[in-house]
Amino acid sequence: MLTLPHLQFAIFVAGMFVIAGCMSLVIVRRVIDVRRREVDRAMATVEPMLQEWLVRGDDIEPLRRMLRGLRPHVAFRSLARLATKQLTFERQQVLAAALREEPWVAALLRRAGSPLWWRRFDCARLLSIVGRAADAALIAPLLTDKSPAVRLVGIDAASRLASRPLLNLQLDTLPRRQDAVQAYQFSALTRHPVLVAEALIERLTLDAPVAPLIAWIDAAGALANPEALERVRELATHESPNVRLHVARALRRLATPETPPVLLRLLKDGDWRVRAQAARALGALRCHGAISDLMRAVRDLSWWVRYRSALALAQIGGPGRVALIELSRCDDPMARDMSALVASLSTAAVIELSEV
Amino acid sequence: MFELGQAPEWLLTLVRSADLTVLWYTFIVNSFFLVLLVLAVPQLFAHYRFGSEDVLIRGLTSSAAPRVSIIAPAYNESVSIVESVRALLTLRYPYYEVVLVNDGSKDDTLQRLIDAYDLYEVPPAVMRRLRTERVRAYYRSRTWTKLLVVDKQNGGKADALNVGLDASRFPYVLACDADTLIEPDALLRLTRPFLFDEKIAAVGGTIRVVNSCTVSDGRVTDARVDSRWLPGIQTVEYLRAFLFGRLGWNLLGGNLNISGAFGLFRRDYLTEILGYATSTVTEDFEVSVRLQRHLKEKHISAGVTFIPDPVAWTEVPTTAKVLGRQRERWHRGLIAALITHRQVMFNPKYGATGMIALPYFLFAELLGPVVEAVGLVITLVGTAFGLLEPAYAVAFFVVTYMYGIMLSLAAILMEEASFHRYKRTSDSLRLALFAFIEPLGYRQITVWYRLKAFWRYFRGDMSWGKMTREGFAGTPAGATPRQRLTPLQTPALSEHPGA
Repeated sequence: MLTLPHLQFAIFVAGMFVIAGCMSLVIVRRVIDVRRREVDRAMATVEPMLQEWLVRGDDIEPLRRMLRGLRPHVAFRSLARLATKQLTFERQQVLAAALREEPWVAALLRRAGSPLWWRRFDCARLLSIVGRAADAALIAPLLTDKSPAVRLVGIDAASRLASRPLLNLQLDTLPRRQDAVQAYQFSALTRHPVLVAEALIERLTLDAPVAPLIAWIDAAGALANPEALERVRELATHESPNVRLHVARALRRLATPETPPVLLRLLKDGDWRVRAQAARALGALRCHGAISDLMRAVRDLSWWVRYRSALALAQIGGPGRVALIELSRCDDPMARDMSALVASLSTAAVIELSEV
Repeated sequence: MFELGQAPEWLLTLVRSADLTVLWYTFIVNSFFLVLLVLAVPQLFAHYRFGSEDVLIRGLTSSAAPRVSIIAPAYNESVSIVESVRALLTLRYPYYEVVLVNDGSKDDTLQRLIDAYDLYEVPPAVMRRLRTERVRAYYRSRTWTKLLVVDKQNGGKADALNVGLDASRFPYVLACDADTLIEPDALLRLTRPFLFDEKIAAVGGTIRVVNSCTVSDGRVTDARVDSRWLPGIQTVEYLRAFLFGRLGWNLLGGNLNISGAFGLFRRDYLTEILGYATSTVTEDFEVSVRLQRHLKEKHISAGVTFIPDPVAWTEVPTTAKVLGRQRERWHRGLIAALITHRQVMFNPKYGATGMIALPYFLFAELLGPVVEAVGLVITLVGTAFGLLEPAYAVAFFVVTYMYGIMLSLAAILMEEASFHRYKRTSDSLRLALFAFIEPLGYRQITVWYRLKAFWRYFRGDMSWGKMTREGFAGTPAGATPRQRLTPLQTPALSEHPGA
């Protein structure tokens, strides 16, 4: 049974907590203010130096000395906040060469194997600025780290290096990632187009498993490398409709005379998704020779095929627009509505809608 | 009146047992909040680190950001609609569209949009899946290709959201509210879980109180804590609800409340559950519960999560009357949702939603005001009639008071140690002060209005009640705050990944 002394004791305990809470509030606020001011001061000093080095590009020594004089976490935070904003890839390479052997950098990078995720996270962030080819062994575990945040920044760190083993690791783990992470990896991979294209060409074969093949086709599409995309084009006869779908989508980046016939074949595919993507690709390639096929596709039973085909006609321009006006007077009500909708869109709207 | 110990034994036992039950109830509920707090701390730390500027920039500059349709319903928003839409059109995010649904405004909201954004009517080629009020016309802008305006007959917020859902074309939709100012980088932060390899059905962000903040061009430029007690206390309340309340629920796996003012949903899931319910007065809570239920029934392993750093600012009531209407409506919506989804309650099939989240909402939220009122009455009456020792009554009050304050102070401390939005020491002190005075009057007012909700619900009243607003500091005189704002009318890409 709860008695008054029990309650009095509870009041005492709760009161102590409240007092501790108030004191913590004051102390935390003070500590945080001091730490933030320290970083802000450092930023205010480092930023003009970094700017000057970026503009004049001669001597990095003052910047190096400046960073060395700061506490490691302050130096890191200043650099991290500024580097991603202002550094070009080439400048970053110079910066990496200058800072990699600094004691504070080495001290932070020693934490790459820390059991605490935030230390590995900071390490990955730092490596994305000062990483060099010799750091590949340090970066590889970050790419498969159990923390998704570390993996994400690890992708960035890896993209700074032209390392084939890291690249292979990224391509092989690609199919296991969610769409957004794949898209992130694609944009990181474009930094080394030749190396990536070589690795992709080796993988883009008819006998490759479907799931990774789709991810690699998408990577080739994002890379827009002609050699890799020519290999993708050869996959247009793949038995899996999912593969053909991704092939059709990727081919919108391959403007060669051999592409439209492949896309016209895909425009008659049994799967509506493949037909829709083929229409989209024909529009993106401004393929005048496809107008009559696209006009037929605007009468397709699938809303999406009609939509993508009408947009493709609008993208083609003059003769395509004329075809849309013709279709907007046709006897098929669905084709008529779709043509009228797309014909009424501004050029900017057509471009934007075709891209997504 | 009785002298202490002179009352009949049965009456004494009854009063003391009731008082003890209320005390234990308060202790258990507050201890549950303490558990949420403990669970929230490591997550808050993680999100604080993930929210670093350099990490954010990586997301912005890559093509990985998922496409988002922002749906904003507007009703009689003529004064502020142009600025509100402009604020939405200038968010720091690479791929999004804005679908503004004019919900049958009686003023010149539509005409102002037509004039300001050079709108032109486009044919209605929409794949309609949701039953809604009639759509009059669709407009696109010649100056902003990412803007779509839908003009429809009035049908309420949920109906307007459903029209926006049908008209949007991206795989994710962000429903935003009338009085919400979305921070420029909030959308970018809100999509972070997608970059973290997680399967997500919905993400919610933090709502903060904008009263007394300086707003310029639809952006909060100086965050302040209102010195008036009502909005000030609500600032503490919002901090507590978001910083550890919802964050704590992430780990328990039963996040049930994605705010209607600022929540991102996977469009296909929303469409599968037939969008927002038009028959409820809290469409956001109801849709969150229905979504969780749908995910469990269909064995979809996608989560509903909350992240603390994307911020949207909202205006809170400044008078007890308007606050009362708001809290009464929220509670009525809670009663309706819990009754509608009663099959989920204590049903292990629904996992944490059925076994933890909904029971929590039943015992802590729904019955909370009843127990508090009973506790208050018993303590007062029991003391007055000599059935309770005054010292016992005071001790009872002080224990519950301090436990509550301790939790509020913890929320303020978490805010200070992480996002630190309120730069002035005076604002922090105000927050602490409001934490102390919240249990002295404010709580009792909200208890009264929440009790009224039972009466109105069982009378079948499903009205919203009139909400009045003051506008933001820094907005032109006479301007109303940002409206229920909210994209080409095509089926969502996510429904047809190949399309």
